[in-house]
Amino acid sequence: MIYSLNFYLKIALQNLIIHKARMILSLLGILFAVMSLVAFGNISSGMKLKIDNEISRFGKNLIILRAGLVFVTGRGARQFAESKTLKLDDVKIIKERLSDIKEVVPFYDTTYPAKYGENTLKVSIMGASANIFDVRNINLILGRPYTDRDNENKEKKAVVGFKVYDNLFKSEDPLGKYLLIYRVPTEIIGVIEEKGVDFTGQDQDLQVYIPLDTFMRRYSNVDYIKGAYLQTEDGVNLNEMKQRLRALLRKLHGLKENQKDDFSIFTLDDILRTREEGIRLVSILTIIASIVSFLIGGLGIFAIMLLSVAERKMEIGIRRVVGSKKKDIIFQFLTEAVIVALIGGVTGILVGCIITVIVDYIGDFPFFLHVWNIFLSIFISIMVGIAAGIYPAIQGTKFVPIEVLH
Amino acid sequence: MITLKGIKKSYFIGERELPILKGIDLTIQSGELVILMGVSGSGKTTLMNIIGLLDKQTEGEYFFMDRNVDGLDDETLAVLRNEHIGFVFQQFFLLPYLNAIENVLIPIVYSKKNIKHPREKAKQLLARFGLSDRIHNKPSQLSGGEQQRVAIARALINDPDLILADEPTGALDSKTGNEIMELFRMLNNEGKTIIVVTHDPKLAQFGKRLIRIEDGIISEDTTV
Repeated sequence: MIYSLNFYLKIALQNLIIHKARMILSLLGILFAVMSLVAFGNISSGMKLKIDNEISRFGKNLIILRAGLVFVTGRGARQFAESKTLKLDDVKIIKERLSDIKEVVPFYDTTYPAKYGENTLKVSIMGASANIFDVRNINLILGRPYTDRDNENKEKKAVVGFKVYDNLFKSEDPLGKYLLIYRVPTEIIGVIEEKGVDFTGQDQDLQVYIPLDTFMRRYSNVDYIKGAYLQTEDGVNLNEMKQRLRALLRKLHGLKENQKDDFSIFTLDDILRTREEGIRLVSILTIIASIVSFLIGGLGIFAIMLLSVAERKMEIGIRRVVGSKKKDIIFQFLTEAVIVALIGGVTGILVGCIITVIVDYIGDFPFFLHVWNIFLSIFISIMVGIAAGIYPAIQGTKFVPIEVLH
Repeated sequence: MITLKGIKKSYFIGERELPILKGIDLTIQSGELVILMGVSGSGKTTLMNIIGLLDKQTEGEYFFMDRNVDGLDDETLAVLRNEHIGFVFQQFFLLPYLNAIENVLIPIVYSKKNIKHPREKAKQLLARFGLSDRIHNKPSQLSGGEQQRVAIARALINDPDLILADEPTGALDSKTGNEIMELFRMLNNEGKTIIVVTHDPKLAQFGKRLIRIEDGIISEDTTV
């Protein structure tokens, strides 16, 4: 049996070599089907991985509360109307009343030039409570973050983004130097690692973090905040939490039924899932394209196998004469059909992976090997080979051997 | 080894019955070298097909190796052919994409017989027929005589009890044809039972027994 399987494989490969062009044409369908399935599986997983990375980089389980009207699109959040009604007390009450909320980070952000020596840089000032470094996963490469105590004491201290440090200080040690913000000298106590642009389009390396109380009293003199990051416990349903939060805030702001919200609540998922919607749409198209390609590939193999059986009647006849049974003939041609399909499948996997590498490189997605799609592809290829080969193989047993041999 | 009793065979073309064999009684013993001679249309090929378990008679009984083979199914007949009969054809019927030794080994693929070291045996057979340096050649690289010797090696690989040769010299020049017939004689001397079917009267001299078929019946049966 081992000898005969070997033999069938050998015959199948010999025939493939003889009829190269024909076989290549017949396996193209499967090649394209598997290629698109594998490439798409890999690339979409890479994209999702990138989104997940973005979410975890931004901070886990976050709800973003913004004063005024903010619209969320796939490209980020855009402010449409401002509001001065969101107060620090609101945030404190939220923390007290909503037990599933673990941390609240009230903040006030604005854009303002920062000056050091002769150099000025337009930066994004972020007045925030000290827990922002934990909640937003902000890591420092130099110095230390400011503390709750710094905040209570309204210390004029700042933690700066990487570009702020890079542009204004070059080779100088920035720690202990004073940055002029709102003409207030502010001591630099820390530098943040390079983070790039976040999902809202904000360049995080151009941010300057200052204790919120310091900012509200000493710099801007306001009694309202621009927003807050609310971090929930693990496993909390964010959508439900958004509803509870909205109800509470409307009550706190004394809004009547017919009045619109003077705040906006959204999550990272709201923004990033719209991108996943896109991926899902493409995935449906890919699956349809794959199915069609598999069908075409199957028809191709079917036609080639019919031709092959017709051409090799002498061979089948002589095999029957020397003692092959019908099932041996069927098995032989099925083996050939499956091998053609598998060659298409394996080549498709390789081409799919090459495409993945190229697209990942261009799109800056992490490389991900969707193993399940690869196994599925091999399985479907074998099934298509069997389905396409069974009828021609049976045709190969339908004639009387002596009629072909005389 | 072979016993035919009242074998009749007819083909039907529409309603019309076309009798080919009209009652053949024949016994062939183990170790014989039989030349089955007849002109085209005499029924000799049909008889060979029946003897070779490739076709079934319409009437009569056939005992192959003391076993009544009437009514056996295709699969059983395939096993019997594989284990007991070696076939040689006018057109050789070698598979074009396999080399000489692979062609010789084809029956092994379907064999349940425990042939030891089939590859070695195939090599030995080919060497014996003077094809040592042709083992890896494809049929297209071999002369007609060489191809027929490969085909005979294929017929022998499974140690058959009977060799059936249908016009084995028909596609060869007379010198090569005679060589092939000498080869059959040699194999017969070693104990193989051989039936050669031919229309060529010149081959009669190679047999030990001559059976002539005319118009579906045996007209002559002489032992030399």
